[in-house]
Amino acid sequence: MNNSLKQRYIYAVTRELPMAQRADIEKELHGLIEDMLEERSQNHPPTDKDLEEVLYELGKPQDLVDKYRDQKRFLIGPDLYPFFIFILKIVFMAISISMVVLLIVRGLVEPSHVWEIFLETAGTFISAISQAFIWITIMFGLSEYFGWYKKEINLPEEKEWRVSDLPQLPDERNKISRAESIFTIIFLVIGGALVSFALDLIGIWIIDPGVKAITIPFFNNQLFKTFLPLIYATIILEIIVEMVKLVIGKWNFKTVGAEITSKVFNLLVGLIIFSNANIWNSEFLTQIREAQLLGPNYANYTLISGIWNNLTENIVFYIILVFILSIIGIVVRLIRLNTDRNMDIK
Amino acid sequence: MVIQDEIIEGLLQELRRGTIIIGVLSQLSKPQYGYSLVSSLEEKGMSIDPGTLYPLLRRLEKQELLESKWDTNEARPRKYYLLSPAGQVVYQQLCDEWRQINASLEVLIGGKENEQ
Repeated sequence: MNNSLKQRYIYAVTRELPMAQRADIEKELHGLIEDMLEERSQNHPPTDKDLEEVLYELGKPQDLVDKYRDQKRFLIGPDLYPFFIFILKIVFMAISISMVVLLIVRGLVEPSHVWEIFLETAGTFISAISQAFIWITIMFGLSEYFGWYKKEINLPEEKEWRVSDLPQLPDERNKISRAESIFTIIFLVIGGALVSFALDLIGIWIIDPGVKAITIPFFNNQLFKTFLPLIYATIILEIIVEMVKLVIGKWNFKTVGAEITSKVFNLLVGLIIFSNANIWNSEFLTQIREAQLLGPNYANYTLISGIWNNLTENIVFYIILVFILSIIGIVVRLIRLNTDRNMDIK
Repeated sequence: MVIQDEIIEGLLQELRRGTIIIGVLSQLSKPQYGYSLVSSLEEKGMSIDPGTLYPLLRRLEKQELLESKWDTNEARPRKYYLLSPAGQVVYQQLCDEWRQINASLEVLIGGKENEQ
């Protein structure tokens, strides 16, 4: 009888089992197969055919493995899977939209290089999609592994269940708008794509059919590039916060906390970048004036320089103002949440 | 008809799953190893394939309903299982529960004579 078939069967089962149980189960399966062979071939030494029949009777090794394991293990289990697909869809959609925007913007500015731009954007698209897939899978894999999500999506816990644990009916006031989160994610991805691949195009465009398009950048791109890691960190943090909001779906102290964290981070990054006056394109006004020389319709110097001077001088003030406004929004939400709770207690 | 057969097969599997445990526990007041248990259950009309029984024995041991011991004296090392004190209590209780279930089902499905 060919013993290696038996060894291979046992190996196929034990290699997928936890180390601690392997040796024991291996011994047990050996004994079992011998016993089954013995019963089958009482008067003659077991043949290859007997062994094959015994192994078929034991069934597919994978099924045996599943039975030996106490519970099925998942990278992303059935509880999280719908959320996983939902987030993937949104992020893929955001990436697709932002790539289309990037393609259009760059194509408009450099119509002669449309084909190259198209290929480049396609490459970026593929790498962005794979990056997004990897990171989202890692995030969901980790929360499956550590069971972070269990409380948030109202899964039954070990402790005794009470009627008061029932989730509140979704209240329009503390429901998180999905559309808003989706829009924010799309916007963030577009922003990320623009600063990564089309930094030169963030500025004023002067497009005239027949004449080469001119763009006058807002920023000192050399210096701006050194801030890219910081900007990516901000974008990723914000996207994570939006995903958390999408999964939890309502304003509670966690989502509000996440929101505040990302706003504070945005504020700090904004202040770091814009406290340096050199971040602006120092040639901007000169370039606008030069553009105006090409023809009076190309740029309205007085208007643009007015806006430009105001913006560059007061940017820090504006950043702080936006921050304060968003914090006020959050505080109002918190107060509402609190009154809701008090109402529930009464 | 094929679909119906499949449904029946699935439902039967669910029905058996619970009864198999009672059957296994009932045979383990004396130590037995896996394959002898397969045969003795088979003899008494409960067929169970070893691929199901062996993992089940392990699970029951982990739940401390069974105790086990390797016997290496024989030609072939065998793992013997025996009901633990906790297992005996659980088995008794399961038997009572089963009799109740059986009784109420007998009433429900038409009050046929109890086959015992």
